[in-house]
Amino acid sequence: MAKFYFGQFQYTQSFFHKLNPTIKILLVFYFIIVIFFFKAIQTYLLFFLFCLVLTTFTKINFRSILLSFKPILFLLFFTVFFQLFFTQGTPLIRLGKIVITKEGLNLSIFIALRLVILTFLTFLLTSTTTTVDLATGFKNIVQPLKIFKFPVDELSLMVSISLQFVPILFDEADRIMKAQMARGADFESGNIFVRAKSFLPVIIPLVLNAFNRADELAVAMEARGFVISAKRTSIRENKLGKNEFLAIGISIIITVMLFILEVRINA
Amino acid sequence: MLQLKSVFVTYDPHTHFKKEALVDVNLKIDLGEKVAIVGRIGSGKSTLIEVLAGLIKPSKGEVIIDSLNITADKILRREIVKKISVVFQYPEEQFFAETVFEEIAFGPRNLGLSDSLVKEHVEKALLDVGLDSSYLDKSPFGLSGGEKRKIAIASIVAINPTYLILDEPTSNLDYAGKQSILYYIKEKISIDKTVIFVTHDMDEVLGIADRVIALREGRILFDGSVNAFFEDAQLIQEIGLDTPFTFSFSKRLRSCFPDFPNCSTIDGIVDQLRQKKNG
Repeated sequence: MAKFYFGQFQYTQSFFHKLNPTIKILLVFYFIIVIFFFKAIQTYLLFFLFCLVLTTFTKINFRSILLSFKPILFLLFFTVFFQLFFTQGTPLIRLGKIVITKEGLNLSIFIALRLVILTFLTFLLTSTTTTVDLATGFKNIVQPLKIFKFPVDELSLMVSISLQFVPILFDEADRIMKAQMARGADFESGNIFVRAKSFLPVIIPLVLNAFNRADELAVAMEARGFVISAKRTSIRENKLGKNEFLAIGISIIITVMLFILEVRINA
Repeated sequence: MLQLKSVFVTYDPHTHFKKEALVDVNLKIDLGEKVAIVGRIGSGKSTLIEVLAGLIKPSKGEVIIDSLNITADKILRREIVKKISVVFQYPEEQFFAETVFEEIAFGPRNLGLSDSLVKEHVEKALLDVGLDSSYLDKSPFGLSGGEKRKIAIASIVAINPTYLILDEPTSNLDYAGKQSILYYIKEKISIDKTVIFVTHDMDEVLGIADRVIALREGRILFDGSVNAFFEDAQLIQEIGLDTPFTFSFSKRLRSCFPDFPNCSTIDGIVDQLRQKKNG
């Protein structure tokens, strides 16, 4: 049994789960763009607070959310470490040759908050949307490109299949790792090059099995009459209801509040 | 001796995916035993063998292999593998090497054996699964399903662990492939080893095992002899399994011959009947 991983869909009866996936994707991307307009740490803290509040509305166990953030911690630590110790500026703390500058401290907090917010936004989207819904949402977003003869259906099918294969590949990697460990493979000792090399017996069968699975899937789809470029209809309705307008309204209010705070701090 | 003391395994605690895979499992397996682990899908069989092989740490409890506590101590993987190893389901999906020799040699090399010893182990393991040295230079990917399975089993046998675990060793094989694998497990591989195998095939249980451990919802429901297991029709039904034909037939024959033993094969039944006829 594979472990629960970051952003995995978790079913609850929440407002977020019921939201139209197209709107959800658009709003998350909207906030990912909006975040880059802010420069004040206070604005980021308020944004982070909004993220925490929104996360509670997903009805997902908060401890499980924190646990799933574990893999991100390394990236966070790495980024903060470099900003903190390698940014030039006004010295704040001296520890022998190591100097922590005021600018470095500010930048590390700033980048850490930005990363955490981006992670929370992604989490909000993927943990409340099934892979099928994500693909449907994506398809609806790129639908207008059909005018330019862009292969929207094919691309969304590729996205849908790829997303659905993610947990399968995780399971498979786990299974192959255990199988190779049963033959004495050690993935934890040695330097970085030794460790990278030790993963070859995992990567090779993983890739081979993925190709085999893709091949079998293609045959199975053709056996059920799948034809590329055929005209398709969708079982899912793409309607905007009360929830969607409420989500857009809340997003506007959040944006306005964040911009007001940003302007006041910079004034 | 292999020992599990109050072992609990909980997957993804504190999440919506929380699952108690093993609940308070206690068992002892002695050297030389042939143990079948049975149960429905999701009953905890795979988790049990992963815990036994030290591939996952239990949430609670201890796993002791020949006085080596693998849950408490930080032990190198190679030290665990020397004592216990596992052939997973569909093991041929783990192949990565260009030749059969390289594939089988992967385990012995990880143990740090010399080149001459690796060669010796590989050749012996290949013979133990009924294949000759002409296979050594072939690509493992070009072999038949049954041959691939044999190579995969040989790749673990070459490590020569004291305890060998097999997870559904005959699944997805044709009749001939299945019979061949079973023959070599019974006649060659299991001779000097403790064998623990997971199966849904009750004929395999009757043919290889001398002890059965039945699991349900992560708990041990039955732990005893093969005969005692198959005598308990209610338990077998509860687990969703079936009594092997030869066992049921032997039981029916006891209405005519009260001392008729339980036979694991049709040939065995015929032999017994012939003996009865000849007096």
